[in-house]
Amino acid sequence: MPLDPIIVVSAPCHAASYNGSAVGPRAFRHSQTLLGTEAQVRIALRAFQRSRMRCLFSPVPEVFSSPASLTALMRAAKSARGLAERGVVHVRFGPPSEAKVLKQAANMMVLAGARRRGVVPLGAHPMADEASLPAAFGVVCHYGDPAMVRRLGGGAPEFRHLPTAFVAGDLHEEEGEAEPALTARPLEDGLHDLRMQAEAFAEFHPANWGAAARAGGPSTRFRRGLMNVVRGRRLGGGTLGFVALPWNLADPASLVPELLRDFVTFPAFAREGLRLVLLPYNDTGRAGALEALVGEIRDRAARHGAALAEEHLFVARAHAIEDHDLLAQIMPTAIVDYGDAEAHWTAARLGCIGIRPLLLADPDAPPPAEGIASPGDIIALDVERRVRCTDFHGERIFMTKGLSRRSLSRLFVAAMERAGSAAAGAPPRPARSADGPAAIRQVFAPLAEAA
Amino acid sequence: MQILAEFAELVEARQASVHIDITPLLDTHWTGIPIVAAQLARQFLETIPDNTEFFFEDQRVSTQAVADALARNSGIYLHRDLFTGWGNPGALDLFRRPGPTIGFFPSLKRVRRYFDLEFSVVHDLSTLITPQFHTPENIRHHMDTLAEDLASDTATFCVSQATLDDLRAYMGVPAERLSLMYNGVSWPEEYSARFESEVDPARVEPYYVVLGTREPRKNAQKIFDTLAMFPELLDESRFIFVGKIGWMAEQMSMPESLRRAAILGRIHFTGYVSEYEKYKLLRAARASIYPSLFEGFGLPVVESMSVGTPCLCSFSSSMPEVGGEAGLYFDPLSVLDIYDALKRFAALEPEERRGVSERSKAVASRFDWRSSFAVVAGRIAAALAATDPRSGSEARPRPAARRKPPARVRERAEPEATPLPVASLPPERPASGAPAAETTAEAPIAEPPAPEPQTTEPQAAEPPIAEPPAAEPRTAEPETPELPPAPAAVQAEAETTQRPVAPEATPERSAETGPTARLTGRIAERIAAQ
Repeated sequence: MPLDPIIVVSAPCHAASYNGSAVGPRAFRHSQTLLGTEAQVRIALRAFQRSRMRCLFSPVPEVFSSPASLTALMRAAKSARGLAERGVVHVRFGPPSEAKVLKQAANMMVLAGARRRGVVPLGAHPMADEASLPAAFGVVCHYGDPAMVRRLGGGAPEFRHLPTAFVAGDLHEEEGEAEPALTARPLEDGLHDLRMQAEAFAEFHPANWGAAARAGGPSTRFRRGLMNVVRGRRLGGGTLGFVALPWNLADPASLVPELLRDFVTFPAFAREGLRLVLLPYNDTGRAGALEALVGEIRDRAARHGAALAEEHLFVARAHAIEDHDLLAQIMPTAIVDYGDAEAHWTAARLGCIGIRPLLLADPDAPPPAEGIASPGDIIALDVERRVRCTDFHGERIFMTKGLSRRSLSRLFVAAMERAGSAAAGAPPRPARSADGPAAIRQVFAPLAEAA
Repeated sequence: MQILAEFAELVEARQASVHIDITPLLDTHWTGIPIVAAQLARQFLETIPDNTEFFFEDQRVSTQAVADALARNSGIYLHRDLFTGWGNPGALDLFRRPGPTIGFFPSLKRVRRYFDLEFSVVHDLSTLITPQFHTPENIRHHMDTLAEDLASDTATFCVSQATLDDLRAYMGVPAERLSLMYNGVSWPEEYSARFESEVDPARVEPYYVVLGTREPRKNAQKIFDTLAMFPELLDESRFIFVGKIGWMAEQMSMPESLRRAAILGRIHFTGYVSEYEKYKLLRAARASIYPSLFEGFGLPVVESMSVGTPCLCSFSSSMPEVGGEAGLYFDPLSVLDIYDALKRFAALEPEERRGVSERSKAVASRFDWRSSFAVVAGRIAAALAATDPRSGSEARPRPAARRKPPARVRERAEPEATPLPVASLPPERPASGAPAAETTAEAPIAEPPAPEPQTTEPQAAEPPIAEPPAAEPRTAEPETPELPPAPAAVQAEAETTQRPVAPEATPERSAETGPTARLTGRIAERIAAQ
């Protein structure tokens, strides 16, 4: 019987913070556990461990090339058997444009969704179209929509659908697990030991927002807001909950910065009690973008009085799975830009923990899958928008859609309705994933043979 | 080498011209790619002097100006000469050549699909694979043309197997279109004698040299981190960082705890050093350390080993391939691993250290420019053998009146081609409007420098080439020697390069047993054997 291969997981990350080119799954560093590649990698590593597969995390898979480096890889995996006997499967997370190959391994790409925006690269970077993968990727696993990717050098990869365990794998409740699984608690019980980092825009400081996870809890201003929610609920639903605003920093054409600008330009919604919590993710190497956006919004908000940046705009990230059950009570609803490539996974993930997403979707694009949102959860984007950006992939123009003033108003009203009704109700029960280690093993078994 | 002689014969028989892109040679300080470009240019000049020409974009570059730069090991005057017009004899005219034109690009291609056959060298894919270590401008510069460069190449040379594998793994380039051409290392002969007269190794305080441009990819930060965590290393040896400051150097910072060591001279930064200073620093060092996170080849590893200085280097990308069994490898992200490697090396007995040094020299001796150039010559010869003997890959009509005379005669006929030795460079440049050819013609003629091969032989015996009559139908033209169809291996090559043998080169029209045909066959056999 062939031995299981060694699974090497990789994703865009801050390599210098690791003390090794390949580390054990527990050494994987993440700044938050809710969204983006960090959450996906965490779930995958946990799933591999549960499936009793030998796995590693590599911050720099591109360094492994020669027998000397691969020997070090096998040593890190504590494998007494040679490479030829075991084989290596490389599972890469993140956007296709940042895909790295682990040579002499079977390479597999995991995509959280599919690109929905048109991209016009003005340069000729081979990966600028967000749909081209290095030629070595033979298999692409995707969560939701069929991914539209091709391989450089020609040919399409083999596509496989991932089980839902990859969306909610870390929320499983199983006996004997090292990490506590998710159980729904009332917000009052968890309020004092909440390990979520949350600050008002007025308090934000980039030094507190390093790459590594911080154990500190929410700031006083955020806590005060939470207390208001609890008090309001006791009194029968007088105070609105927060509205989550996930922001994928790896998406250059994200609608989120524009939404925040609109929110401070039209402060009427804030006066009615709407509070937005920005949830940045995929921020590796892009911390500057977060700092710049918060700074800009803070400056704009200052024109309308201090309260906006102090009481109505927050930036947050969740550090602990145990606190995910409280998130749905803190933020009963979320505004999700469905043009983002990871939107499918984000919406599904939020749904699993009980946060009901409001999707901003292009009516001309394929509609979201049934399990993700009902028609009532969709706000149609109705104005043409072109976003020009310059980054590692050169200059590109994204063809996308935005919100008219009319739709913006509809969005914020819908968000407030949901934030109010959920705040008044009982805490929602998080969804459970039906499949587990067996399903995961099934996905990787053919690759193991190939490796 | 036999293959080089055969290559030269074939080029001559086909009246082919090899055009070398001088772009990398325009740098003032030659490190890395400019050094590779210079060495290959020297090899071309040495092997096929009459058939080698230089160009920049669509302009010719005077061979003499390039020879001058090669003698100086710097492109500072080449740059000046090219852009003031003195080193630029005119436009690159490829339409009147009697034989196939071959473009050789030692790095990125600034122009493509100009020549019948094109070859370029890919040094690494770091702007694609590790963009975080590059500026957006640098990435754009490399990536905007990569795919097109590869597509327009007859064959692409890669400086290591790791780079070749990268091209396959990322860009999906078929293996048959790639060739492995290692870089080489060679030091001028006088360096050794000069070193021995200047340095007494017994009196040198032990030090490690960290060679490389100071940029994040070179990962000097991990050495800082290692020294900060294990400061006792600084008591045992000094650490000398050699190399100019590169891009994004501001992202690296020496920990505060090491400031004192820097003040005391236990850590020292030299900045850019000359080739001899580099040689001296490397040769006198206890060992060199090369912690780079990603390399296409890793020239500093071989440079260190070539002078017998062991190299402790990262196991990343191409370095183990280059360092072979003599390299002492560590994980570039692990401070502990770097520390272990240093301690293990320090614990070696003198006899063992000598053994490592000998092994290092033996490994480095495998990387010589002549062998590397033999690969280039072999590949070009194979492609050349597969082309239409009359006109390169395309059987386009060429008016007889436009045919280029043989090189030596051309020299006499065209005054701008007269070589101008380094010593006789005029002190003042001509006015910008003055034709460059006239200026060169008036310059005194003296013995050319070593790489420059021309004009020393008497040429009076050469009969002048009569101007042929006006263009005639191609079939009536006196053709270059007809060649038989290329052997099977070479034909396969031709298919992969999408340059099919023209219908004219059929067995009916070709002599199967001519001397050039035999030469072509021999070269093809050699290539197949390689």
